[in-house]
Amino acid sequence: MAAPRSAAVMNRILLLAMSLLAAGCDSIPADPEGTLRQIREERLFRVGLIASRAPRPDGAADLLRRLSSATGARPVVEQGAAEPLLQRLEEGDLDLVLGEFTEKSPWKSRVTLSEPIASHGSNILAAAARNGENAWIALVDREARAAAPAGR
Amino acid sequence: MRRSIPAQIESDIERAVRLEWWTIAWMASIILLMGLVMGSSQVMRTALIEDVLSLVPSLVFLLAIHFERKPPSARFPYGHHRVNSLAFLVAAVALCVMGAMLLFESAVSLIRAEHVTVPPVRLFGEEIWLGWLMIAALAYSIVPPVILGRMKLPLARRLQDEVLHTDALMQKADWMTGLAGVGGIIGIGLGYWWADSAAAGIISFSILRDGITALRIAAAELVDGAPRELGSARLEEEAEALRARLLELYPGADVRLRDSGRFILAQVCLAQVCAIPPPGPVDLDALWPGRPERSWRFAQLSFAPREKERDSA
Repeated sequence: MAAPRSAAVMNRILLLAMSLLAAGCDSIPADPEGTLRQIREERLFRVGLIASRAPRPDGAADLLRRLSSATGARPVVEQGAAEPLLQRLEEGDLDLVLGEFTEKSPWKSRVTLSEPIASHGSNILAAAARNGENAWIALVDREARAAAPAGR
Repeated sequence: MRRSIPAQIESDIERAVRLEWWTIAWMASIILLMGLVMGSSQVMRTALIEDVLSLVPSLVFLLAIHFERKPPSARFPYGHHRVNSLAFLVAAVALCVMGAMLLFESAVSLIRAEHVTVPPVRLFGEEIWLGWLMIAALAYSIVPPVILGRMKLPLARRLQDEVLHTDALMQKADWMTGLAGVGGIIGIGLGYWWADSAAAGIISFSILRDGITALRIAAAELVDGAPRELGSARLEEEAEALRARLLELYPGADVRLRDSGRFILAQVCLAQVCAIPPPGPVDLDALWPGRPERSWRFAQLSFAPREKERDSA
């Protein structure tokens, strides 16, 4: 049977996994569409801020400051309605959409929501990133956690 | 008909039953671990469903053995040997469904160009990429099926048990899927969004092929086809030898063989009245042309007059 071959395949995969680990976890995960690399190269990231009648929340500004210092890029912010912004995020025209989402937002499967920065009731203030951009998502998630006011 | 479980294979049956209980225990632990690690990811939900599905052959094997042990009764005068054939059909369908599901899911996510998000998670206060946890869980999920599958194959051959054989194939499907999953997650980590689906798609073909072969044999068994080799659609050599032997003893007769679970049943249709069946009990073991330790498979020899050709309407 295919026993020796499958063992060889397994060995090769283990070897690959180990060399990846040895190479350092910094480059893993990577972005399939290169969002984070591009942000670092162009020194700017495009943010859509979902328009709302409520005053701009502190947490959002804090998150943008943190992302800015983590990447060395400055945010280019535009305001708009939620749907068009999210759709442009999905297509890669924006890097981040900040705003209020509901806990059960149907957008949750089409974009990736960060940890909530703040929450009131069943609404959360969160940052949305393009699906699969795992390096960028990891960074946004970490900074969102740090931006979230302690104790909430 | 002879006793429900022949003495020669009693210990092997016991071993197979123990192996199946171990399979269920290990798979349950894998399912639990996967459930903990996989979170809300769609890809991983598919993996979880497959793991649950892979329990089907083990469960139907245990059920079939339970029934096979029962002696013939007034309600089941032929005994319960064929429960094994029925269980085989169920197991074969489960394997097919698993292959088809894997193929469908991976094709859909490739066509839709779904970019899978694998986020970081917090574990004991440390932030860690969920992908590493997934790889660890998948690596764990590979080990038991490899070992269990290897242990089941020789048993399935000795017991001529298609359910056990299909179960071993299911274990192969399990560890191959696990391996593909590891490759896929590493691929995602390196920034190739298609890696996971592509790996699963390639594996699904081999699973589906095994499933369809099993389904063909199971169907042949249920429509009284001639005995097939274990895990293949070819006619069985042992059975062919038995047929030749019976033809030697009853020249001119029409000898028909079929599988009933792990057993072979033979019917000799006599052409002439003078070829009288032997008086008194027949020693089936003595008629078996193959290796004596396999003679238990010959479970029944029956005689029938050859049917007269009816005028075709």
